[in-house]
Amino acid sequence: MNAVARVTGVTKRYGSLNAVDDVSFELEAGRVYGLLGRNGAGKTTLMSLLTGQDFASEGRIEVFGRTPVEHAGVLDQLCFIRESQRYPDDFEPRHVLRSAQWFFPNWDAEFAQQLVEEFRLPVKRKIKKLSRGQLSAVGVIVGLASRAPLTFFDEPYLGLDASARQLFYDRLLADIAQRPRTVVLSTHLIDEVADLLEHVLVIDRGRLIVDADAEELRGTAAALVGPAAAVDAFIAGREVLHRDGIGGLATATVGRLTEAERAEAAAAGLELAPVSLQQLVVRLTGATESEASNR
Amino acid sequence: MSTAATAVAIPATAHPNRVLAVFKLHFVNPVTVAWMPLGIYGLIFAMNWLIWLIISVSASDGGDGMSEGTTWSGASMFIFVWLLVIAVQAMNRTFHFALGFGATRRDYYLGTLAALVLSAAGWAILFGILGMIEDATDGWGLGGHMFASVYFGDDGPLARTWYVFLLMLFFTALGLVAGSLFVRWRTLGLIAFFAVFGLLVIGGIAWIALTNSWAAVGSFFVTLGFAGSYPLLLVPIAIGALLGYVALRRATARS
Repeated sequence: MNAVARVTGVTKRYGSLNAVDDVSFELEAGRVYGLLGRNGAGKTTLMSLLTGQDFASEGRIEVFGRTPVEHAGVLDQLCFIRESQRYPDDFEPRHVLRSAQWFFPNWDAEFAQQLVEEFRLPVKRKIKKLSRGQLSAVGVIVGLASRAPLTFFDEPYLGLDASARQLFYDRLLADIAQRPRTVVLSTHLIDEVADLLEHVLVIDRGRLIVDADAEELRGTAAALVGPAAAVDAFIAGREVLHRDGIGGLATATVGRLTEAERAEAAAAGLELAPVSLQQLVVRLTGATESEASNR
Repeated sequence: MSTAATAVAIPATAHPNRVLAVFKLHFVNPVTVAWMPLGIYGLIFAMNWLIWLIISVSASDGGDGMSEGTTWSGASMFIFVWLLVIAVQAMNRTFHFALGFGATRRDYYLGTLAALVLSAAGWAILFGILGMIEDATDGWGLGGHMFASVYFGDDGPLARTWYVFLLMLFFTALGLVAGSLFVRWRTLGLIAFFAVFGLLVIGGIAWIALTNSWAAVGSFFVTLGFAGSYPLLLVPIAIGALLGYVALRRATARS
């Protein structure tokens, strides 16, 4: 265990709402984590707690062995630019980047400049006048160039065009290969980041429902496609995450299958399809039908 | 299960001085902190000067009584209120940002305090210099007064600068408390602050009036003189600085 952060039984209450509800996990050094979940699931709150920007109602948070709250030595090892980060009204990106060097000990101004050009970020435009994508680029550039040992990216893809997303992906991979550090990517655009992730944390309504290695997680579910009768016969008595049908055909997402079960499914005329991380998370965090009809 | 021992400790890097970082952050965009207020002051001064000019041209006595009248000028008061606003704005502008960059609330507050005190000092010195010019040019050639008004006594330019600095600090401290309350509790905090502040002022006046002590209060300040009275502001300034920190210490970056 090489934990850079440890969260133990943490709850954050806002009035009667548990934004984060009894969550425990660890972040290991040098890995890329995906913090996934729906809007309002508690992702940003959790990151605020980890970076000492908010106070936990219950539980313990340790980052680099200390509580991050008001601990300067811990905080300058972190970088967390939130998706809704508020910048001073009168600031332009160049002011943000100029001040960043005073705050982040590992700040690389040259790298930041290179990223500004690659992301085509206008540095002399009021932050307020930037597009959503350009605003995301500011956060992404700060996150990359700060080279903080523990970096949080909160919805880094929001509004970025396809080339910029690819650029982020490439630069992040290349940079962490050279200078290993722990990265937490929070997003609900899961397919976009799926290949980056080494470990997945899924949070739903404040509760941590998945804490698993990404490779392992990909094998935890399988989709079965085939004639409805054959599908239903196969899934009877199993844990079913989802079932869909059109006419005589059906698709069902079930839990991990053993080799024998796979063979059994094939013999029953069913086709096995992989379940993407996104599909899996959607199945795990989606509203059930009864919930949907109650709304 | 003792996993704490295996946790990765804080990497050994040089830790930047966050107080200094916050201090510099306030000045990173000189447009807001210097050029804009300078422009506004310049404009106010120009308008005052024009009014003096009109009076001096049109008055039958050639404006001889103007020096006496404009010494009660309140035009300079704008600068003090502006400093209050600047303090509130400075905190509202930069708090969430500095927190995002990993500043502790403590470092943020100290850096902000230092930046505001330095601003007040800068403006006070400018005010003092302009007061000297005003004296030397006999009221900008027209007998007008803006920077050497009656409120700051006639103990000489250095003393005047010192009094102005203290008064600026007082308004800055008010702004610091208001700004901290705003960052912590948004508008509600601000309203509560001005309500309490207003009640204190009214309560003080009522107390003096009801106990019939206006004369005593007057002679108290007369005895102290300008040199003795202005430093009394340091008491509310210190209280304000402490209150601001108390409010900010538990503020979060939630927007």
